Amino acid sequence: MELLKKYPKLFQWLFLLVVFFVLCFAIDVPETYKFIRGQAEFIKDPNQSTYTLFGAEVRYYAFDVFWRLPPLLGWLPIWINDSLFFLMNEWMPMEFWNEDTQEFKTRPLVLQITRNLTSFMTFLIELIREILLGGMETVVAFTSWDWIDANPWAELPGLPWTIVAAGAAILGYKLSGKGLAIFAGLVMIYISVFGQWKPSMQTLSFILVAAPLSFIFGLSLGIMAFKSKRVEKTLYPILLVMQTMPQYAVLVPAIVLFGIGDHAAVIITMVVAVPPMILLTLLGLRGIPPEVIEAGK
Amino acid sequence: MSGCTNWQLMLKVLIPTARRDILIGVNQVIMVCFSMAVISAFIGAKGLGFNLLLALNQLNIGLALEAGLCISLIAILLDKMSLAWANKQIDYFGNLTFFQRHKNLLFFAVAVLIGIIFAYVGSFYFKEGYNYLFEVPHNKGISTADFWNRGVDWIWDTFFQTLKIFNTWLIVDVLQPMRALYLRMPAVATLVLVVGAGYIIGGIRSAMVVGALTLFIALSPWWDRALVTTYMATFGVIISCIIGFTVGTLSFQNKRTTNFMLAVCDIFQTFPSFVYLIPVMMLFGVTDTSVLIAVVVYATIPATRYTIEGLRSVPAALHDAGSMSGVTKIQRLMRIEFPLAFPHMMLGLNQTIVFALFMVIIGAFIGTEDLGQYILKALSDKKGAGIGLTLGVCVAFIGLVFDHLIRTWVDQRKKHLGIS
Repeated sequence: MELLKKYPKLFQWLFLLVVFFVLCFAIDVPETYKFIRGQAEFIKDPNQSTYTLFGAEVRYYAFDVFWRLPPLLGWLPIWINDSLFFLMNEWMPMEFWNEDTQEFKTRPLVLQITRNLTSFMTFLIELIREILLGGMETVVAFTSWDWIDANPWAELPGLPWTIVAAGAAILGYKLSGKGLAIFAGLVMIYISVFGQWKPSMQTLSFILVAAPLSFIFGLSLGIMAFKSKRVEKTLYPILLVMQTMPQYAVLVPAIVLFGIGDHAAVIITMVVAVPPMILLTLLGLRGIPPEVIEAGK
Repeated sequence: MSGCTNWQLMLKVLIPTARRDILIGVNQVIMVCFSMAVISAFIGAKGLGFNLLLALNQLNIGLALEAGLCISLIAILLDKMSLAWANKQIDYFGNLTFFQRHKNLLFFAVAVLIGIIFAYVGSFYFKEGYNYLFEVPHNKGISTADFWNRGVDWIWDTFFQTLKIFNTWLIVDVLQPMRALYLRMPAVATLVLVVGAGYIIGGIRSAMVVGALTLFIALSPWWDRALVTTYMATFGVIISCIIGFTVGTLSFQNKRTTNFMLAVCDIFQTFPSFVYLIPVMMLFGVTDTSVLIAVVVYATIPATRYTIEGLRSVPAALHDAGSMSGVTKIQRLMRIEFPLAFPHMMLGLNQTIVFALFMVIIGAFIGTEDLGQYILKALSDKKGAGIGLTLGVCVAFIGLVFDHLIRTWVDQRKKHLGIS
């Protein structure tokens, strides 16, 4: 009894472990159980049970409830899928003016919104990419392909790598001093000499769009959450899930919403990069001593 | 007191005061952006990530290594620049000449001029169609790819037999039994264990949160897969914690090694994990060992980093107090530094778990039988969006269960030690 009073937690843990192992030994492995290889939900097997919920048919191998719980949430993926499809293709069709064909066209609202977002992102990426590498997409965005054909001189020339390297070194010098300047110059020269210039600048252009945008979004959402308790309460669980969710899982719905290409990559990167920014902004603002705020007011 | 408006208060007072945490946020944003550089190549982003995947498909590890190094270097450069920008103090000088005021701009203008002249001259000098002073084409640069490829070949030739014996032992005697144990757990027993742990650590509320998260996974059709994911993550986390805590503690003894270790952490965090996935796969085959080695390499980063930062957070006054009472180095480490740094180190464990889970999911490219494999299948499935999202939430919930338990425990511990 003395011991039990001294270390109550320890005995709680011991008790828990005992219960756990008793349960493990008490519940036998069902004879029909095996680790199912392949995708069970796409195989039609007479041994499988089925149920239908919210219009989704779920197939599963039924076991003793103590051994494996039945997949009562099996309808969820199908349902998410269907509603996403509905949202993209059928919900709220509206008339939108189409620049290319010069006529009104009926399109679902969400599709139109995502398409506009997409073209905006593409424009930003192309702008930075063509300042660094040269090209004509940006000019096309302001004029048209016909105009480009008529005026073959109209394209951004792109910067030679020597200029970008020198620019990086000067920027480094201005920001911090000699050390950073040398490092920046060396990195750029390394990239160029090893023949990675074009892909590197492509990657850089996409990051120079994604990183500032996620910084701005993260900071402003963080400030909003700091100002209002309600925003914080709604944001917090989403942030937690987003932070621990593997990035691959975000890719799949993003393909459906935004298609394939650099713009979709920027949007996904923002989705992944904003949550830690919000959390850290919130953490920083919380840590400010009240005297500082008082002095400011 | 100074009569700021709300906006001024936010921009001039609060944000500069909270600068330290916001800077860590910027650092995180940049790291995440670069780690996404490769992953986004799967949905058609051009750039280094795409080249890297191409090189890996041809099993050209040297080429992939070079591309990966470029990603790391740019990431570190941008990170340093943003840090320097945020830390910069603006100096105000009254009487500067025009040259002094616009020194950097003028230098840049000169650089642009010289660069253009170089590129123009280059267009006459290089006759074969490539202007090296404008842009070095992808296949014309210096390449050390052959060297690295030969290195990997050499390792393969020399160590293959030894590695094979080790691999077989690990799989047969450690991994398979561990996996079987995890799969042997009845769902109800697991639920009881998790809920009970939640109750002991944080009371009824914690028990309910943790129980709800686990129940979601148990009721989804992928409970078995989730168990396999958990088994791999657990194994990876144990090994990385052992390595990370040892390396972190050892390198903390000296200031120079500490900084060196943190720099290594930076490089590895942004270095695309696919690059070392492939040589590992060549050596260990399409097995769980390959995945676990990749997991350990990736998950050791936060373990090391947080160990170092935890030890750093121990106040210097306590060191001195310890020295005054005449403790030896080992005693100081065991009696003063470890107990005080422990809560912070546990947050590192938290990050280690999240990193390990990420890498286990990426390990699906090697060929695992866990949740990641299903996410990969969902990527190429027309109706995969729902499955992918649900699976992602399942993985997130596995992480969150541990996250919640550790966080609750750390909060209590910090209150107990009086360092919250």
